[in-house]
Amino acid sequence: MSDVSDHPLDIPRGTLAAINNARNAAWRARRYVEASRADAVVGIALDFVGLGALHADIPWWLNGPALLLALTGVFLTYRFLWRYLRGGRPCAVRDADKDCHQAQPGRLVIRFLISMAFVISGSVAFNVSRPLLGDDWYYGIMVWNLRLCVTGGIVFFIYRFMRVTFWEYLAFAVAIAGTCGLYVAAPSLLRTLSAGDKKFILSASLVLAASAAVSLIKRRRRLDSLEATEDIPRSSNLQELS
Amino acid sequence: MSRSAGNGHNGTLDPLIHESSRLMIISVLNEGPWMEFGFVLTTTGLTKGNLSTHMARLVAAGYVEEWKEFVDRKPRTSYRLTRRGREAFRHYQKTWRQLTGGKMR
Repeated sequence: MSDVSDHPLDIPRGTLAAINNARNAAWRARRYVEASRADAVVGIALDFVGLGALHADIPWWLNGPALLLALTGVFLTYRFLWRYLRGGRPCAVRDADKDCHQAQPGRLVIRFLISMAFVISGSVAFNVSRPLLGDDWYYGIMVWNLRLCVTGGIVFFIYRFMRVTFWEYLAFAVAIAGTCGLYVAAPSLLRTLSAGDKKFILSASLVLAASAAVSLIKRRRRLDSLEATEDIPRSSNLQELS
Repeated sequence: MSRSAGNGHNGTLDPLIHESSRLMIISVLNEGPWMEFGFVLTTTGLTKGNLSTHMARLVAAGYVEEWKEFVDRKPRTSYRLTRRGREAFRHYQKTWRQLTGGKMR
């Protein structure tokens, strides 16, 4: 067999194979990195779906599950953030005397505090300026802000799905569209639905989001076996990444 | 490769990246911030010695940054692409696309 491939540029087979191997390895790494952020992503999705359902005209028997989803989402998001900030970064080779177990959140904490200060000051400024804006503008901005957030959430999950093809992301996008999407972003569409249809869409969205959340967390736990605590991998099973 | 491989400038492929193992390593590191030695090892399928050698070359070239720590008295090494490494890889991808008219990833 010739070393040269059928490629029009006569690229050696070895080079094409190397490119292909690199592409596959990058794909596995991308899926692993994505799964390692499962807690944060699940938390955000459950917040969207739970809070969206709670703000909707929800049947009383769905209040509990919706609240549970929203609280679980808040818990997962903050747990991820807490662990991320506490984790710090590994010690440098040249800093051999440094205590590597000590958390070094440093700039991350400052960035987080600046972001929080920005959000809180924005919210305070918005509420203080209410008399100047008038009710029409005030509620208009509020409603469009919510619509923008919901649309952003749906676009975010569709984009992530296209990047790593985790079905859970598509499920989250559908669940957000079925709760926040219908009740916040598209109220005109809501008026065309019967009460039974609304209940069905709401409950189906909650079930879908909960199932996707469980599946994504399980996916992360399966991939955790790949993480090494020393310079030797615990497992060479990469089936989960393919 | 049918076209010449040079130092990564003027439309040539960076020879440091254009080696199958190092290309795989850089492709993996390009997907995230810090990655542990063990993870890169299993993801690329290279041997431990092979990976160490290539990593040393990439670190020496300033493409990869290395951090070491001890967890439960066991050594743990993590790597990430430096800004220079990311730029070099982006340039490599761009050049590859120009040469072949196809996408690398």
